[in-house]
Amino acid sequence: MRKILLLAATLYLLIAPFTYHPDNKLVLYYATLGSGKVWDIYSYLNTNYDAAPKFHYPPMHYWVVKAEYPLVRLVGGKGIENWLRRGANEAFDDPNIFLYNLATKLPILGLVLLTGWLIFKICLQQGFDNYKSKWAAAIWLFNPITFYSAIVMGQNDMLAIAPFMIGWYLLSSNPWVAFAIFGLAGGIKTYPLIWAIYLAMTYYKFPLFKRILLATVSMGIYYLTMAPFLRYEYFRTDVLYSGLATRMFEAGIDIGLGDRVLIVPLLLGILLLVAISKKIGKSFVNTAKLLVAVNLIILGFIHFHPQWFIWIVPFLSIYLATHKKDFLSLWLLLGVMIGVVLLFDDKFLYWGLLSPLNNGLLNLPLIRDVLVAKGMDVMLLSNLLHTLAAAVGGYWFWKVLSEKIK
Amino acid sequence: MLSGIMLFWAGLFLVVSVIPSKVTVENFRLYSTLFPNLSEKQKFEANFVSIYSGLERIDVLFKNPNLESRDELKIKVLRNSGEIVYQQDFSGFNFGDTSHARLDLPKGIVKKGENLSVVVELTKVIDGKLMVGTKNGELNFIQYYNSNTASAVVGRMVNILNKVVGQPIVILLPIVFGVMAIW
Repeated sequence: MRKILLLAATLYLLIAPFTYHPDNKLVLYYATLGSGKVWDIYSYLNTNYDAAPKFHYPPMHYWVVKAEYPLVRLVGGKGIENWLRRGANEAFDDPNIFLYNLATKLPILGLVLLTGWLIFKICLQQGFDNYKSKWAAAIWLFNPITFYSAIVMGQNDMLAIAPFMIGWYLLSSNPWVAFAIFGLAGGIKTYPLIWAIYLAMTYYKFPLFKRILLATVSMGIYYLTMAPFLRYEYFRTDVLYSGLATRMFEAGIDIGLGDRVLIVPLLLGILLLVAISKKIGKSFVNTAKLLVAVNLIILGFIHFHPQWFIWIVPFLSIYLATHKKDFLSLWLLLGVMIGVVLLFDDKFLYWGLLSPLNNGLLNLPLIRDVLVAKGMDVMLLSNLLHTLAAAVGGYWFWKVLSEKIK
Repeated sequence: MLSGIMLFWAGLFLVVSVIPSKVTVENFRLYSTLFPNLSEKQKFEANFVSIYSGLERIDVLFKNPNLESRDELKIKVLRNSGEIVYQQDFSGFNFGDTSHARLDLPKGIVKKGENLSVVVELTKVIDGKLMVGTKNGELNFIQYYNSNTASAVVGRMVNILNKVVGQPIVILLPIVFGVMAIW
């Protein structure tokens, strides 16, 4: 396993310094505000003028970014603070851009490797043999979705995925601690909280009442991390009601008089009831399958950002280590991700990623504009890709539903 | 392993360098943009040197508040000798509430290293409302170069290598990890 991790680290370090995405820089910029003494970012951004957008993630996310900043500063040197202040559209032409890219992504790279190691350990713990455990870790470490989202873009999803995997590793020995960690991970980015609810409600070693208590531990800790801020209107607007948080409730079926049945919660609800009744939690592989289905139901029916596909990969890696025929799902998802990336109205999702190597790439046209100029219906193409993602989600939904009752 | 790493880099740098793209150059890019009324001075200009071959386009920044202005103007690109390289007439009709006047220069008319100037002259005041973009007191414009020549590709490769050499940690770390992976 050591060699696999070192090989992954080598590849990551070959790519990360030469690729750039402004999100990674922007999030770290928040950590420098007020000479690094700001702890309530929401209040700060609502009472001081700053050209940066509002901070839409929960408070734990901000504190974790502040905690990683000293390492970023150590590697990047004193110039990195000024660089973080530079505009997204010009920061890539800095003479020290490779060093700054490396510095800002280093914590993320570390968490990707840690997650790979945890996948290996969890698989061993759950009875996989050494070969299959390594195979699961390798799928996570070397698949193109991980590379794109974490290594090339440096997206902060890893800040939540890694602690969730730590919690999962501790689940069999210390379930209460594990669910407390899930709550903290949910406080960084909310979706681990959804995973925690499924793990709690399918935790077969406990009776139903205790399972509900497990879920309550995660939700309670999630609530506590946000409690000091909930009374502020700006916090509710910036975080709780932001577009990112409410996307799950967009797709719906009109049932008249203004009422709607919401598709994502409906399907997630069905999955939860089926998972409980079929005792999915008794099988580690089936639990991984359930979490793949949960993520795909969410991504299949929301306006997703392509880099969010990394949410699926830890669970998909575990499942694919024992079910190679389902690799087709990974390739389909990869196709959807690439298609959506190329149709996005944002050059930084493709040309801009290589802008540190060739600044002129950002002067190339948007691919969607080229297709429109050639008379193609880009919206139709985009909708087809979303439908394909939903189809893969439907397939995994069916896989869970068709599981034999234990 | 070491040669593999070097080959990987060389391939990446080469591929990225040869992707056809335009190079943009903007003087005083990091300065904030101001918009004085064109009618205040009647004439704004800025000097520049064509630092690459293949200068193809110049975009000059304007602001037409509420799209109301109908002022008329001429934009010229001149050589140091006063010789006109290119000129074009515009009016407020051509501008949005912050937009560029686009001058597409005839191919090959400007050589690398020429001293040039861009001049904006108000030719007819209709309402005096048209504003022109400035940075650091100079007319703001963007130069677009066709950078797909062999020398431009080589230039980009050299630029990348200079940056890599200036930040040795980005070379050393993967080499160290690569060697550890083999051992």
